[in-house]
Amino acid sequence: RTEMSPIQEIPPIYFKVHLKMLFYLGIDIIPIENPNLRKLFYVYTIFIIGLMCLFTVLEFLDMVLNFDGIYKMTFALCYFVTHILGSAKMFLMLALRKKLWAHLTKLEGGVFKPNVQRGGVKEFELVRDAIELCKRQGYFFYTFVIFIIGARALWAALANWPYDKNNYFDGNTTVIVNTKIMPYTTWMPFDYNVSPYYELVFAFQIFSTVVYGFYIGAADAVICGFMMLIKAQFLIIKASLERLMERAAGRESANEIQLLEEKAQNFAQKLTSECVFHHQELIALCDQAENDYCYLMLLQFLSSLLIMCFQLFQLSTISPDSVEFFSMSMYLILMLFQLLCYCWHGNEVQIVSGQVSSFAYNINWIITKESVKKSLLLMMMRSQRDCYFTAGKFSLLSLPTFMTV
Amino acid sequence: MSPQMMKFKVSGLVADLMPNIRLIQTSGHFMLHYHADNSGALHTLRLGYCCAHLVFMLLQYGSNFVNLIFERGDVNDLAANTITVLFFTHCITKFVYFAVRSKLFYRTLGIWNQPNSHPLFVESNNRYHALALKKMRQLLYIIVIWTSFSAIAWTSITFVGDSVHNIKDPDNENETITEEIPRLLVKGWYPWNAMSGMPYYITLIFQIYYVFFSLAHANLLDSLFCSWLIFACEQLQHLKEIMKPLMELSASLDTYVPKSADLFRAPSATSQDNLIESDYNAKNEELKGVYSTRQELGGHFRGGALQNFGGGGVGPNGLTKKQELMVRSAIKYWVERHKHVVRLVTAIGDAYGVALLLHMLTSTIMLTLLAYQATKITGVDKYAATVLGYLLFALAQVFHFCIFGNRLIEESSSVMEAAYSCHWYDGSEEAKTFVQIVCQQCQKAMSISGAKFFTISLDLFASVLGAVVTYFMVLVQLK
Repeated sequence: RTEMSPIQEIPPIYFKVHLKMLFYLGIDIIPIENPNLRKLFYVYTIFIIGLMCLFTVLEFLDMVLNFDGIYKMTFALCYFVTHILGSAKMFLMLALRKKLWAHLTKLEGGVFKPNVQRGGVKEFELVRDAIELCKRQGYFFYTFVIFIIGARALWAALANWPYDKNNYFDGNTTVIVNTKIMPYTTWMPFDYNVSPYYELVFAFQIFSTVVYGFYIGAADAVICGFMMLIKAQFLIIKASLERLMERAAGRESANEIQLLEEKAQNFAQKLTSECVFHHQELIALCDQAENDYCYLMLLQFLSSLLIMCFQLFQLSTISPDSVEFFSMSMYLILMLFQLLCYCWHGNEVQIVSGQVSSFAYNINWIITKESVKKSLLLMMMRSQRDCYFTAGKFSLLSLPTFMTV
Repeated sequence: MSPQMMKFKVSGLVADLMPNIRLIQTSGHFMLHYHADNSGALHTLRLGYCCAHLVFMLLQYGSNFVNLIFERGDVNDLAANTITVLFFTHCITKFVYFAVRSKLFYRTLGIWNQPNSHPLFVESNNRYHALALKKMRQLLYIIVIWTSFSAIAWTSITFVGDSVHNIKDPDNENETITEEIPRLLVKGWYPWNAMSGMPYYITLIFQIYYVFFSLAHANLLDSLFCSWLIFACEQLQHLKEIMKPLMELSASLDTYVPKSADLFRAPSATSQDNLIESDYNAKNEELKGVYSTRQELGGHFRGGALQNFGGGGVGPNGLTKKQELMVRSAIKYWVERHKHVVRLVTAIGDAYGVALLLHMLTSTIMLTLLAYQATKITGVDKYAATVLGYLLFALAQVFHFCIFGNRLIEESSSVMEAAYSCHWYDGSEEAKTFVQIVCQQCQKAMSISGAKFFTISLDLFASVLGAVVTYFMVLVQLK
């Protein structure tokens, strides 16, 4: 290619990194062509999801069978609710995968494809920035997850002093109690104090938690990335509006007050219609996406709130000098970060969709004929109503919502 | 661009806000531009002055903080010291914030350096500009008086009542005894004994300086922000006022002839927003000729007066070409001025939004603690006076910027009403479409947001006040 790099085409699947991650974890958003491979993949999906569900069930059993007061309960509940959230997200993603793929491909083609004649090189930059930001958010989340789980694993491995949990006598037999410290709490039907079992269960717990963390991270990254791309599309509309008069008149006409010639007026009309079509398509996509994802968001919100309550309760009962306090506060920060990502990008989309009105206002419409002005006016009117994302239709994803939390 | 190379040219907002700027520079903020002589030596001297202030402020703040850690045993002392530390956090934050983001402040101050102008609307522009100037001066006086009064009140209340604090009795674990501490404005830890004599007086003077300058730092920056908002509001008033004559211009008969000299004034050399006249001259040579031959008929155009030369002429919608061009130039002035105001408001939001967010976060925590302290008031004494003083000051700071933020919201949303209430039905098609576009664009009010997290308005103040009262009531009940 002899073209300069900014005008180079953007590689086809925008969120390849995170979609590949989801693929490895058993969710095939990128469709598999070969039907035999697809069947094999489904077997793999069932296996992984089965393993995750098993882990969650074991956690639940441990909570129920080894109930030891509200302190232990809230600790177990923190992780249990997170893992329930993870599984629910998994199932929802499986159910929604075709729709998600449809939305993502739609955003890569047709009127949404960056066009250098329309808004200039800026369009490519905008889309590229959105993809970069999405990648970085995902990486940050993965690193944080590994850090937290790694720290906890290290702590559990190193701190193996006798920890008398539930040693009690039931009649004339001593009930076997697992006294070795595990990173997380699961119920096992066998005694895992013995050496090979201990390592196995340890590895199983760490593996499951990491997989859950990555699920949640990848799902978040894909959905937030989707919102980032929508924001980029609104900014592309801005870039194309800015260049509209220049393209119509064939010259820089920002300070003229004479009406344009007939030919230029007609061309301006055509360009404005294209812009309005872009705006309409984008709004339609937003509405559709909002309908599809609002329950996922609601689930996310409710579980985040619940988990944070448990975490704060835990934090208020542990002394600030212990490792547990550090680990729990890191986890709290991760949850807040997750919520902040959603609220921030939802807020950005809301703001930028309302700004289309000012984008249209800022061009030199004074020198156009009435029909062009009317088209711009109708576009401004529609953009007064923001495009927003909601959590289950009753709560907006926005920064004020985050502040109330 | 190094400060030495900037030509000292006082115009626009900088000229209007010169007293504010001078006061800000005197109080030690890192505002190093806007001096006539910015040579290397003087610049370094000024930088040194600002750094000295910064060092003193941080030292005293550190001393407060260390004292907080030492006295954390007693809950009452802990609460009181936390409130003091949070109070001075405002001042330090604003100081450091300005130093770090001064480029944005310079940009905002320079945004109004080349406003556009139109001969028909000069008089209205000047009137509102003068009004804005007057209000900004009044605000500055009020802020200066209030800051001085607060500092003096703080100093005087130090000399009232006992200067003691409670510590555990070393003989009896469960008892507390009172121990004398130095009679200073704020409790701080010093490596020397500040009880009496020379060290005491030096520490006292240092603390008076600290309190006065900290209050000045925070309040002057807030008043700069509010002055910007006053200016933006007055510009919006100007835009609302000229809507009417603009419509009348479009509806007037074609026998109107303005004095040509007004229309063809030479534009200034470096125009950010090109003045209308420059393109007028460039593109409309024939127009010049037309007007100069009609000069004998022309009178002065008084804003708002419909000049009717009577007899003949086309109806309101059948404007001649020159009439149309004049109307379009007036519309262009209006639209460009409005866009300029929007740019100013966006720049203000960018410059000060994060500072407002930090202020609100600190205030929320501080007001919660103050509500707790207020439940322990037992009578009219020094304690009650200090708690109420802190409370009033904190609430006044929040009220200060909330009221101007609210005014901006109100003004910008009333532009649409002004556009509707002019005689647009008499105007040309173009004028009607212009009114339509303006109404559409101005439906959403312009507002300043605290870094997108919340909007600065009286609602914010009401919610803060409501929260404080609620905490107070709940805590009183819990007693």
